[in-house]
Amino acid sequence: MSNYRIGDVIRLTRLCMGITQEQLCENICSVQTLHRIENGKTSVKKELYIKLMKKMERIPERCYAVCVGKDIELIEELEMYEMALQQGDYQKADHYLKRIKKKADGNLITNQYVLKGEAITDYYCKRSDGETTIRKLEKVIQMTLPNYKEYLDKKFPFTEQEIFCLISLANANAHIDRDEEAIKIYENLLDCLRMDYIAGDNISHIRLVTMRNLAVIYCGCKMYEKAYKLNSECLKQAEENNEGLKMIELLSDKALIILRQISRGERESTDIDLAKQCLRQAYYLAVAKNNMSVASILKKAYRKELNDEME
Amino acid sequence: MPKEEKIHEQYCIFEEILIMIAQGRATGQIFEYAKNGISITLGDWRKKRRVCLYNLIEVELLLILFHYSNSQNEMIEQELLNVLEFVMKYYSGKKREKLGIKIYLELIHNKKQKNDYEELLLYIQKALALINRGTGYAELADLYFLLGKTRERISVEKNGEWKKEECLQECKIAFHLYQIEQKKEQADEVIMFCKEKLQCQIIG
Repeated sequence: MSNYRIGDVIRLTRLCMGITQEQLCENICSVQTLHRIENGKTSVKKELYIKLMKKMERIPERCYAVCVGKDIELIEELEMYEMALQQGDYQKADHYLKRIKKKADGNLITNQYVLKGEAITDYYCKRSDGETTIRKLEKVIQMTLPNYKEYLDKKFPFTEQEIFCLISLANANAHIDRDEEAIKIYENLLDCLRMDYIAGDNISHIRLVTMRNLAVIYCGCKMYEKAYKLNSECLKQAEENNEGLKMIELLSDKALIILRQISRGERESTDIDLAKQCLRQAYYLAVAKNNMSVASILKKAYRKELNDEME
Repeated sequence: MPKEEKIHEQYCIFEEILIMIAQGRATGQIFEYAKNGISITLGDWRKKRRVCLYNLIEVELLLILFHYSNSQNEMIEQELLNVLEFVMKYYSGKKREKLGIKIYLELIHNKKQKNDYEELLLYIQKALALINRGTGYAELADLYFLLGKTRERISVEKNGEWKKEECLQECKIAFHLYQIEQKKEQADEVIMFCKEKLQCQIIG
């Protein structure tokens, strides 16, 4: 769960709606108060916040931190579910999600979380195809943002949950080769995330996931220069965040981008040594993290891509 | 400062100690100050007791106490192990990883100073296991290189079994991780170690 800079959320939503401070605060509060709230110079009371968001036709409920779990057991199951998802164990994730659904309350935010999870697990457990998954995810996002497509073109302050819904939607599009749609969602999300309206450590992780996924799609669309540039930014971010698992992915992505560029004549063939070095580094980091299945995949990739054995 | 506010007082002492460390004040002075700080909430920490709950400042003060101690450090080591047990039991995620590693690094530093290689090896392996349960990778390079060097020392000084292959693999890991972190000096140090002690060459 992230913390949001409330002033930024109000300011960015207002800018998205294309209204002035005067128009927003009319019959609610003074312009001076709104100005101070937007600049983070004063705190905002819940009642005032709801009034402002309602005037901008936002669903106020979406803006509160709502703990999904009523008790420790539920929170633990949430952790297990997230972990299973991260490890790609979708059967296990499906199991935990069903338990969460039984125990969770009927809150809008909770429902959105559960339905997003269901859309993902249904797809990976082969109960839904790509098209259906996209439709499901769109409905999930519309639970809090009925006109979400409009906001994708603007720097809208999406909540963390909405961001993950949009990431899932972009991935679902990429899975069925709708790369253009996936790129559009990711590029717009990235523009929003660069506004830094979410406080704390979470934002840099979310930004890293968004950038990495976008770079992979660029690479798939043969937009190698863009992919390489974004990958370099990701590597810096992963180092700053101490994200070892992401670092493994990014180093192998970098090697593959370089190899594709060489094969298309966009790079000198001598850069093959750099690609080799990146794959070796990814491999040894996987070994260091005791992730032997990933290490084995990287070793095979080294053999296949470079026609050589890793020392 | 609020009256009768022990936590506040302890926090101030902790901050003062950080200033003393930055000023390079004498070890004994820092040790005594840390001991006073810890006694505010834990009483006499040398009295044997079961694992209890610690606040973050108590953990930090115990780490300082251990770092700046000499003869008494076996008792502090036990206390630090109690803290470790507490951290592993009650913390989760990044907080557990961060604090747990900090404690292990302090224990490793101590065993290294004492040339207690068997214990050193044990703590390095435990620290590595802790890091590998999480997503991070900071400290991995240093720990793998130290692991390799410790294996070599055990074989030389204790006539232990010489696990050269393991040692070389650990050095290779350290070398590549230093490269990722762009720590050229440390990477060169690994190359030198492998050349001199293992008669092997690492290719970057």
